Amino acid sequence: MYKRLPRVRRRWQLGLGAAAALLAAAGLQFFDANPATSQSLFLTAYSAGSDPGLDPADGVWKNAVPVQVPLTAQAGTYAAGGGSIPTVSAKALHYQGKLYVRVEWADTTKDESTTKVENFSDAVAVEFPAKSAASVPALCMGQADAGVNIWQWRADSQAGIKDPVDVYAGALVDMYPTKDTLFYTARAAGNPYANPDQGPVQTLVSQTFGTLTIANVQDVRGQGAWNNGNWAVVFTRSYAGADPSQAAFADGATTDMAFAVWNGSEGDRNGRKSVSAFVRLTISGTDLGAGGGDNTLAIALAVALLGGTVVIGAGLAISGYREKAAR
Amino acid sequence: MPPVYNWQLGRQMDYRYPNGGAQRQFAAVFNTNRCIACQTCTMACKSTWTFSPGQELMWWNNVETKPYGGFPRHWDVKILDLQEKANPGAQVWNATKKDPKTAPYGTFEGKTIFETADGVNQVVTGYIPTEDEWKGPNLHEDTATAFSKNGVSLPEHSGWFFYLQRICNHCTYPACLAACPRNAIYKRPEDGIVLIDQNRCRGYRKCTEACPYKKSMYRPSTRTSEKCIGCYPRVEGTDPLTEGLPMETRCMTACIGKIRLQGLVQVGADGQWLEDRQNPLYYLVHVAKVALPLYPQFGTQPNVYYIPPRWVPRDYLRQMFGPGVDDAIAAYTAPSRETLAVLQLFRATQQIVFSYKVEPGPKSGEVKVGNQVRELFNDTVVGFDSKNREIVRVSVDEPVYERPAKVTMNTI
Amino acid sequence: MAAIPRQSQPGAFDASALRYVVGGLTLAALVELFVLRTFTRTAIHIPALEELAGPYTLLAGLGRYAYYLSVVLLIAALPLLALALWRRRTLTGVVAAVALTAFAAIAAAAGPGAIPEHVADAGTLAAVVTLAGVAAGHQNTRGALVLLLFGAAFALSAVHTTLQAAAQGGLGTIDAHDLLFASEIGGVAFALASPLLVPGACRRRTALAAGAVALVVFGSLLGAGGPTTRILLLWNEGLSGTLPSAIYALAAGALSFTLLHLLGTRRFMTLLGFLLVLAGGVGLHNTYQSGLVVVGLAVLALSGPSLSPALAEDKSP
Repeated sequence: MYKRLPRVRRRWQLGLGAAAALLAAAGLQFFDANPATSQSLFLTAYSAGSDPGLDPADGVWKNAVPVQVPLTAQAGTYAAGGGSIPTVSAKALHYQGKLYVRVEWADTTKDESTTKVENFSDAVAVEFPAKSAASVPALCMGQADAGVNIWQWRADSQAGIKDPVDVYAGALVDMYPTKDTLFYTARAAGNPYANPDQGPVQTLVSQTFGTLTIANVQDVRGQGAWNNGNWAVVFTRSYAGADPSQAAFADGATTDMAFAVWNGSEGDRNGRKSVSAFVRLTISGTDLGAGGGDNTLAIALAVALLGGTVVIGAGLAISGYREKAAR
Repeated sequence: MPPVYNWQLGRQMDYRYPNGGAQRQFAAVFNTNRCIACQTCTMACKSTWTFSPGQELMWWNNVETKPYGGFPRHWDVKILDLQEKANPGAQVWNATKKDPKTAPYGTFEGKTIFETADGVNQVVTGYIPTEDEWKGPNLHEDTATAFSKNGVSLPEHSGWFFYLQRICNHCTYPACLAACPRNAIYKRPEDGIVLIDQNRCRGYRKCTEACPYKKSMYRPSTRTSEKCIGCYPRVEGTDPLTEGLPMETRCMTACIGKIRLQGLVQVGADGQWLEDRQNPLYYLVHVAKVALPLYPQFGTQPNVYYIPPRWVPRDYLRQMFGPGVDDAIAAYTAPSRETLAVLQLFRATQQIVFSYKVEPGPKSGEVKVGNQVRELFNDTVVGFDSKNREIVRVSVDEPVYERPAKVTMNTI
Repeated sequence: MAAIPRQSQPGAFDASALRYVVGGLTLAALVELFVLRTFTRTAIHIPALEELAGPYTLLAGLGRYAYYLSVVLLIAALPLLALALWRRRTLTGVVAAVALTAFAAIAAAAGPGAIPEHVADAGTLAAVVTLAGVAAGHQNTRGALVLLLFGAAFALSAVHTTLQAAAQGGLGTIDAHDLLFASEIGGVAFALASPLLVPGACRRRTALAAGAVALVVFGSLLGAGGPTTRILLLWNEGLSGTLPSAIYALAAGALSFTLLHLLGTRRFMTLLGFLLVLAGGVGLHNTYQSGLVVVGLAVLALSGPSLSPALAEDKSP
């Protein structure tokens, strides 16, 4: 029966076939035509009816549909670890040319003080390719020919930078000869991380590991709130960043995005974090519906998918077994 | 990891980067025998660099009482403990595998802090001292190991303590630099001084964790780490006082006990000191071998050298300064004419002495050391600056001035 | 990888084109997996990568080329496999052929966005489950268990993705992230059970040794380079690595044993099918990886110890 299948009878036939395949592949590579499509998780940003603002508790978020993104420990030859936060729940909206991303995750400790040398801050970041990249391969921290744009919110930055004498009520210092900014060395050196006016969100760019650098223009805003063991943080920026080298968005556009969460009480900082693979963000022109609360359809779908899976898989396995036995 | 050569260990070792190509290296010799722990160095540093909010617990220079004191608390014991746990019973020296140039103290057969690290969670074995451990920088000041009822006598005192003066070692293979994921720490080729770029630092405290000497310190008011900068403006010669010539750091020049001598030594491409016979530091470290590195077994090749205290039990000193201790103490107890002359250069000038020469003088007396009678000569040592101009001239015998019995002016 | 099987008569040059396509596809997919998906993702951790920019660019280009070659051969394999299954003229053969054709149509339609994402996801899920069922039916009972475990792991993860896609498409939300954990367990169980695929397991010493080596190597990778290994596991295989490291080490050992045993007993087609499934991984990533799984399962359906296998093994074990 199987003899009626196409066969290779001559060496030249094999050579021709191989050459055709190799050429076709070269053609695809040359024209950068990728026939494959991503099937990973995606998030849709619908158009919000009112300005979501920076408050993560704003009512408009209630109707936005979250996507649960699994996280894993960060890769790295060093400075690795993390993985203490298993998932984040992400939502996205847009309003009058501004993109809003809201990230929520469970963390029982609210780590927002970095006064003590041994304390680290909770933080979250979203990452976009600087120019939209294919899903294969998705690279962490970018590489020389494909940079990334990172928005990081930090709990300690939101709580504000404080001098130790302002933190410890009983602290006693004879005198400071000066409190001039010049002697807050990092601040004087222009390090935004040491600048109390920076706000809780920093925009960073990176090409590869160790090249993470603060962006020239800081135009992402954000705010976080901790409630009953959950952090929720909102990021926002206009579609077009003030710096053209940063990620840009548009109605109807799709881009990759990834998430990273730092758990301060686990000693997370820099590469020590929980990180996701890339998910796709689609900015939809459709208005955000009132739905989201109704989940009967979703439950029915889940039951149908799981049930169908079992029936199809097991049914075919059994019938195949019978065919074999019949012969 | 590329292998680098660490002459203090007498062997190659793993380090994250190949040799950085420093041409000159900041180095110093501290004579622990002469220190009185007045902390003038500490305050000179503090009042120059770390007097601002957030730097309250920051002492780039400190003097601690050994064996109990330590800033941060128990720093050395903790690192030694981590190392011992990582490589139990095998942190040993082979003092017989020696070479006068490439392995002057023997060969360290244990593992360095770079070699015990797993390379993933840490590139360097270390820990972050808690805020509490940075408080009380001079705890256990003047605490001796025992009260010696019948007094003490050399060679080893029954009850003892000594002062250990510490600044950043501006290591040839800095652990802080290797640990920084931000590439925010760099070692300057012109003088080997190790600096943290305050613009790039993001306060991850990896350097605080990695530095075995705990000389990288976190500053909460800027949320970055800061460290001893080797008073680089002075070393560069930008202080108007020396008219463009390199000058020793604040902590060195402030030393009233005259225990410190700092300078710049020439370094080859492999990180080893180049032969420079008439440089006082080269002479003390490589020729007289009277000054030894602090905890060389950590593997960072530190550049502050110590003349070990003569009265302290040798096993303690060998752990702290390596197997060269016995020779160093012998060389200090009965110094050669040249060593005695070079020791006179300590704190004779604020400028960095790049070379010296000894002019022989007449015999000036005899002194009994142990059972031997040694002759003393009033030699004169002359120090030269980087342009080979004479900047200082000191004789072994201190000049004595006799005041007339009756004076009319300036009487007390 | 000695991928091209020989005919039983030495000297004769006459073989099904399918063998060559599947062999070439496996080779290209493995190069793509190890160079593009693994090497280029970890190479950026090399501290002095800037100095190796030339070789790196070359290797990354090679990996990318392997990817495109793999895509071309994948497209060629789909109709050939569908034809082979169709010509079996059995219920399962016809169903499997339809599933392959449907997957091809879905993958083609998903590119330009002609169908909603959750529909494409559900269609892919159905195709994979169908082929897993058919492939399982043509194995012996022990082999069936292995393939059903894979199908279950894939389905659990894919249902999670499909539900999220449906939610984004306005079909209501449900928090189903427990499915991911179940999928993780299914995926690990599949790997642990994989030696059941080979008859008379544990007989070949080399395969046993390879399994032991893989166990140790993967165990130490998870222990020392844990995070790197875990993220590669998530990105390449769809497993998040939340279970204890020892389990993954054992799973890697079991997989290596199975592969070496299949190679040693010259059951090349089963080996290729198995490798393709591994290169595709668990869950929905992209239509390319799903395609690898679909093709791998179809090859397993054709090479199983069943009636008139189109890809019958040359040498029965």
